[in-house]
Amino acid sequence: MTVTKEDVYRVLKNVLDPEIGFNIVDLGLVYDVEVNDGKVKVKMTLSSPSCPLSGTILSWVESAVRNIEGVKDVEIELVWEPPWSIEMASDEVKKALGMKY
Amino acid sequence: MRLVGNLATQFAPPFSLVLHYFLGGFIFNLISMASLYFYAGSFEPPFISFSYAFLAHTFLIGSVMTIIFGALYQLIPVALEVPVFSFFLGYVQFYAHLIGLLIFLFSLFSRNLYVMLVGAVILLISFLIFSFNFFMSIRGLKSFNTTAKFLFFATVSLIIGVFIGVFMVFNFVFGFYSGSIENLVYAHIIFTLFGFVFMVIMGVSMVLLPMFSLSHKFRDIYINLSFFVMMISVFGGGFVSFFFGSSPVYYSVFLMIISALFLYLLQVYEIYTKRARRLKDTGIDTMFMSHFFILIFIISVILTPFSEKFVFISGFSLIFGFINLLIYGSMYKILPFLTWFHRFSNLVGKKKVPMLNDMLPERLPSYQIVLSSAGVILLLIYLLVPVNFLFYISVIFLVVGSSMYLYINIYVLRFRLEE
Repeated sequence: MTVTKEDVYRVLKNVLDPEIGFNIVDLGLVYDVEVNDGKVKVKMTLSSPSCPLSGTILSWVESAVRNIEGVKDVEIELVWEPPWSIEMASDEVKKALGMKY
Repeated sequence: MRLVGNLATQFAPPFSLVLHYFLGGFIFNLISMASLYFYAGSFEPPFISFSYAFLAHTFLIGSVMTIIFGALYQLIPVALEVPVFSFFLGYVQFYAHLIGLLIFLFSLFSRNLYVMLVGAVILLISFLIFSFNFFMSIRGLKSFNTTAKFLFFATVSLIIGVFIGVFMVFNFVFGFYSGSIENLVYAHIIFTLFGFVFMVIMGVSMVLLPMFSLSHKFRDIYINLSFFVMMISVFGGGFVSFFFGSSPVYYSVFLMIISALFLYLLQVYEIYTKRARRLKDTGIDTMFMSHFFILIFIISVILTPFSEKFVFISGFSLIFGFINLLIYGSMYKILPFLTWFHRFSNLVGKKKVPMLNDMLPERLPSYQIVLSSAGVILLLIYLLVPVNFLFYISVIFLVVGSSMYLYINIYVLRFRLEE
């Protein structure tokens, strides 16, 4: 089975930040996804470099992607540039957090 | 998993280590609020007495510093990206801290100087264990960010302040020092309360406030200036008070300290205005709002030359107002996270797990914060207008608030998934 970027984004929508209560895709934490012959590379950030859940969230990302049929390898690139900000989140998240946008 | 990039948090401490400190701190919080009852009508000079020392040490060492040590074992890896040197030493420190504190408080209560000596030395050992553990943990630190700078100098300040405290106790017993005891007390307060407790709070706030409020793109100029002024105030002012203390010197040092705190307030306001999370959240709202009591502290310090009432008002607004409420608010964010991480993180993807806010009882934290804040405000009014009725109402509010706080935290710790 051929893995697509959409498959990866779909499973990443199930990875929630339990503190904020939203999934990492809608929060805008996933910067890019590359799929190449079953090898998946996720480029992402976290809401804070000091996020105490960082290791846990990354392990969920890996587990979610690896469970997609056809995935042979997962690489997660954790980046801090550009730094995450609320502008990267979906309108739904901004509204739920009480942001005026 | 192949991970490319820097990951801050691979070194979480054992849940039980942090819990030791937190539970100890919660219980001492209740004890210190309840012990206020015995101070009705007694808030008058002289300020330096065993009676006030008992209240101050019960709250500051028993509640505040116990919770700070527990929080630091959790936060050092998160904020500084280094592993804690030894968790075992963390447990040893806790028991030394608890035993030393109980002996020390008993000595203040019974006015037994020889017992005080024993308690003070055990407490000194516990603080030195922490300091050793901290410095060993950061020995590999490559760059010092704002939080690291605050924590480093806070720990240096703790060592100096505690040695001054122990020096005082030795002098009470053996009477070898002919200088001013008042100078020693002021230097002790400057190094331990402002040097350690405040510099830890200021440093850690720069991690926790933006993280919990999702604040980004804020300027950090105020906190850098505040650090600079605080360093001069604590290390310059502390030593000047020690050697050349007098009323004008103490007042000048406190004016410098309130300047540093004012700059810190501006930084907190900067973070507050840039926050993305704007919906009601009892924990983070309380953390921000607790800073109003620093404003009261600043105003009352300025007014101390006009009335001695303001000495007590400044002390209570800072300690029972700001520090107490800040810790209450922080715990409503930190404890659910720790419990969740310990109990539910490995169930993700296998079962429906709660969000962190689900782990707090509904509405009770808000009621607790309102009750405790009202208790502090009534206490401050009582200090201005000494009507005993106000005092007893404020003590009732504070004791009930602290009991609710203990209950809520136990509720979080006992939170289980419904089968």
